[in-house]
Amino acid sequence: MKRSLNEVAFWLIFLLIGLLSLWIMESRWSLMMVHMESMDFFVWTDDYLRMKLAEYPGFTSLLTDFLLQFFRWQGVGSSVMVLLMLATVCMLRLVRRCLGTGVYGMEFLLPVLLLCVVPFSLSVHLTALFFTISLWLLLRWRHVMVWLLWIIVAPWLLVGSLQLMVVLLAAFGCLRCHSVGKYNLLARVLTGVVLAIVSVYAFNECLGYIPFENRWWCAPAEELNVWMFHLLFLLGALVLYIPVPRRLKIPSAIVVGCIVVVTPFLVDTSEWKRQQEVLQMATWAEQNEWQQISTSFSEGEVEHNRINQSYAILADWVMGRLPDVLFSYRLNSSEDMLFRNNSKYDCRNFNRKLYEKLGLFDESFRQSYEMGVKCRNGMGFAAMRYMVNYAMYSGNVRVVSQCLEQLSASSTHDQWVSRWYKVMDSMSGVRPNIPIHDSLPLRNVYSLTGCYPLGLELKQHINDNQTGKMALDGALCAFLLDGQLAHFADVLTNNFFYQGKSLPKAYAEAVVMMSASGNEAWRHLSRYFLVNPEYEWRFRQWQETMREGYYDASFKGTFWDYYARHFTPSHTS
Amino acid sequence: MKRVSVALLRCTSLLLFCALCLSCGRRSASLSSQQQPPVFPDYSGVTVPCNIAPLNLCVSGSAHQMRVIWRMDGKDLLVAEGTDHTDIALSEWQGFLLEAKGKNVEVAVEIWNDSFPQGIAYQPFRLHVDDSAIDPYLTYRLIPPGYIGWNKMELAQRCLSSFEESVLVSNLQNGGGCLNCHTSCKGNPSQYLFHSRCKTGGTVISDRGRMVKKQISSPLTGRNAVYPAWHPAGRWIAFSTDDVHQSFYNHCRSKIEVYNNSGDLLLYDTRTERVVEDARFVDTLNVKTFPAFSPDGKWLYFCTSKRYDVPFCSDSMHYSLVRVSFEASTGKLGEVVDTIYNARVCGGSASLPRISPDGRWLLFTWAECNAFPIQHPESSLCLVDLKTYKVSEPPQLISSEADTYHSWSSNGRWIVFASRRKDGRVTRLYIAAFSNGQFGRPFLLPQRYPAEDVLRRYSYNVPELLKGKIKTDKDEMARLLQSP
Repeated sequence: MKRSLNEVAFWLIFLLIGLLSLWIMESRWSLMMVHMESMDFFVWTDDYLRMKLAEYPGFTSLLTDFLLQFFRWQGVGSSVMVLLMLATVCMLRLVRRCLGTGVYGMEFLLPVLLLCVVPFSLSVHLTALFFTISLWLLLRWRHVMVWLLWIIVAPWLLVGSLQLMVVLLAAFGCLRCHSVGKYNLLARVLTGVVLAIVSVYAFNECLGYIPFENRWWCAPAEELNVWMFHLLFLLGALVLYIPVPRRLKIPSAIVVGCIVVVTPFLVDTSEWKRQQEVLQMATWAEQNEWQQISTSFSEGEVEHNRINQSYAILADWVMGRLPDVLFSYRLNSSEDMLFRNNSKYDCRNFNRKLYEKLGLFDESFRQSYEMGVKCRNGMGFAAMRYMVNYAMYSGNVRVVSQCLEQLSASSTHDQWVSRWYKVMDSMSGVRPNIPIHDSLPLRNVYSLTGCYPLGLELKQHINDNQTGKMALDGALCAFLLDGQLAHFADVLTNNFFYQGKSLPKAYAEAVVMMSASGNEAWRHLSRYFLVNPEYEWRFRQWQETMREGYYDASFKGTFWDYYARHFTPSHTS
Repeated sequence: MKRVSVALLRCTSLLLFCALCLSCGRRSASLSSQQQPPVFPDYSGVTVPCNIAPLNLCVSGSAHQMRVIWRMDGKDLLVAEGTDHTDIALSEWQGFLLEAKGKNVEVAVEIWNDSFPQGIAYQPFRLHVDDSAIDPYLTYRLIPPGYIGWNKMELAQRCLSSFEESVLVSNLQNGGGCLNCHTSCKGNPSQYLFHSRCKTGGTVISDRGRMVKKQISSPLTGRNAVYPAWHPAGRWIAFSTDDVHQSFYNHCRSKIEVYNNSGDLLLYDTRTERVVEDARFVDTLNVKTFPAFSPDGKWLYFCTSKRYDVPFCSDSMHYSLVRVSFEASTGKLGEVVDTIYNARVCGGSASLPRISPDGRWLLFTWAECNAFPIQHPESSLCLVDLKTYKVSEPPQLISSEADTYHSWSSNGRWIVFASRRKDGRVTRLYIAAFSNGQFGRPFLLPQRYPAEDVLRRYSYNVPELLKGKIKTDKDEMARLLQSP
């Protein structure tokens, strides 16, 4: 009766933890799960499969990428992660039964700790499952053939150090149960150790080179320290081996329960939260929910999250409000409007969107490629899908075909690829046999990106008639941020868009300041545009405060304040 | 009971015999077409070396079955079958090559698919199996076909008589850094070098069993050695010291402009491990790049252009091809600089000069401007007859996409080059026969699964033919690359 009550209690907790984990993942980290698919890549090609199997441990690595493909659909990722955790719990329960020691609840320790510490690393969870299956297999089936078979299979599933840990833990378990003779056990352990080491060299020779230490001693997740990874596994397994006296069973179960409950609160989730926020911004940008981005951004975020500010700027830029709010952002130059030299995935993703909105699809294609190359496999599904989009926008049909061929070799893109082929078929009727790409000029130095400051880069594109108002605003704002007033005046006067119209705040402030200067060329600038007289009055006020040498906070967020802080000698020094 | 058993046994034997006969019998295609077969790669009209790997074919599209019959003088020498591709056994292929050596071969393709369930036989195409062999190994760099970033990169070597490909050096050995500019001394597998670009980077030189890593840079400018050329006698290595950058085009057929801000020449003495520079070739007015020694070692060829403000004036950078005499005993360059191809007069820009082993022919890449032709769709291979100095563009090699990174075989009968002619983006390798100033039609480097090679995510870069396999100890290489 008592035993069956214990059973019921175990399965209730099992169910409760499973549902709770699922709820937390779906409600808090759903975008992270989908993002895991974005950074994954899996194709059924000889080249790719060989590359994955050459990694260590090959099968785990391959299975990780295979499963991650399905995380594209919301809910699948969380379910897989939770199911893996629960499967590991079940295996640990079987291990405990074989050992006949430990207390209820010990099984939850390793899986829950892993889910708290590395919730977004599928390979770690798969490793935990294979680790526990291995341990159970060697403890439950003590026949020498099972040991030998396991020794052959293990290098495909576990890193060398974990193989060794399994061998030693299984030997320790067998020793305690007196189920295998001492010399027999010694022979098994030695064989296990030798083959674990030999397998490293064999894999290097036959499949592909990875430095010995990387094959032997590594954690499958970058965010997890190697020592911590091994310590977690050792701790998770050892707690099952501790013989607990009857009187200590309840206190020890309470301790384990406390650890399981308290750990989620101790784990620092700030980085994941930041990542989730960035993903939310990127998702809204993808859905053209610019207003949503603009309202959800708060200025305080800039301190720890520059990329969110960039999305907020992009949102204002797309909605045409940037010249009104430009100087309310914390910017120091036009280069702060994008991530020119930052090759991180999120930064490249932002650049991609920015150039897409500017209509520079070749640059978007490049940024997509650069974000893909940062993924674990040197390419990501999301990057590949974007590349198809942009190559299509550029009319580069051969590159579209090449990317589609690659994607069609995955397990989850059949429909997506066939949709694109239909689009291509419908296009060929419009432009028979002449892809637009081949009619483009070979080279045009005025269309270069990546070598001029942003303002000049966009100015070239405006002159080349390649972009619309967004590029015009981008160039004007960039010139103001860089203090290049001559370029600003040049672009503003040579473009008809604002002539005869009321100028937005940043431009009006700049025009008022320039008109007030002694420069003859700029003196009549304000005649071309409608400038609210209030700006002139405010400018005179600002001049007063500057002359008197005190700082008036009401001028914060104006071009004059920005200019004074960045380009006047007293401030820049 | 015994009778029944015997009868059953006989029936089973009969059935087995029938099944065997049926399986051995070859069904023929019921239709015939005058069209060329829809197969990939296109081997029609090509000349192949007598030691090349099996020329497997795959159907463009889907198929239930395909059959490829290799005939000579009306006799079927080899029949290969598969569902949508052939996978010819190496031993069978080698037997075929022995018989077909020096002769023309006819290749007939039959396909069974949804459109032709009864099968269709296409117009056979011909190819020639040459008497001469190509060097047995080929080295190349496998890199992502992209822009600035990379993840995985490796220098690989491929046996040309089979499909065996092995990694020579991987960037897993140097902590994910860049590996580039590999070259050998006259295709000798025991004398080769490459650069490793990482925190503990340098130039790895393997010279007859001794492997060292050196920091080779110009004492005058401090710039690192980049493009190498090994002197045929083995003592000297010429390098250019390029300051290479990239910018990116929009709304253009070219996507990337790779340009040199500066470039000089230096010579590295492997015997004394010292760098020698000639002040005439270290200046800020001209950019010099792509050195190459003549096979007799008496001339050093290189490309040079007046320096402009790049990338803004990239289209003004026109590299001429010049040469200067070289004295191997002293490492001194001669007084007179001869111009082989004058870009200012003839137009365009020359890069990557490679001289045939007999010293008679020079193959270089022509592009409209600058000196990084793989990123220029208009770039093509040009041949210079060093007897008459006549420059020609071999019509057999022309394509609408970039063709460059060419390498001569040691007997001068073959070239290997990199081309983007398949899709304009991924670089693949092609082999072409050469005889008396004429090239044969190039063919794609044979692969076991040709269709899957199209899906390979890496570009083949800088192919170079080798006389044998390079043998390395990977752990030793990793230690060397990561040592300070």
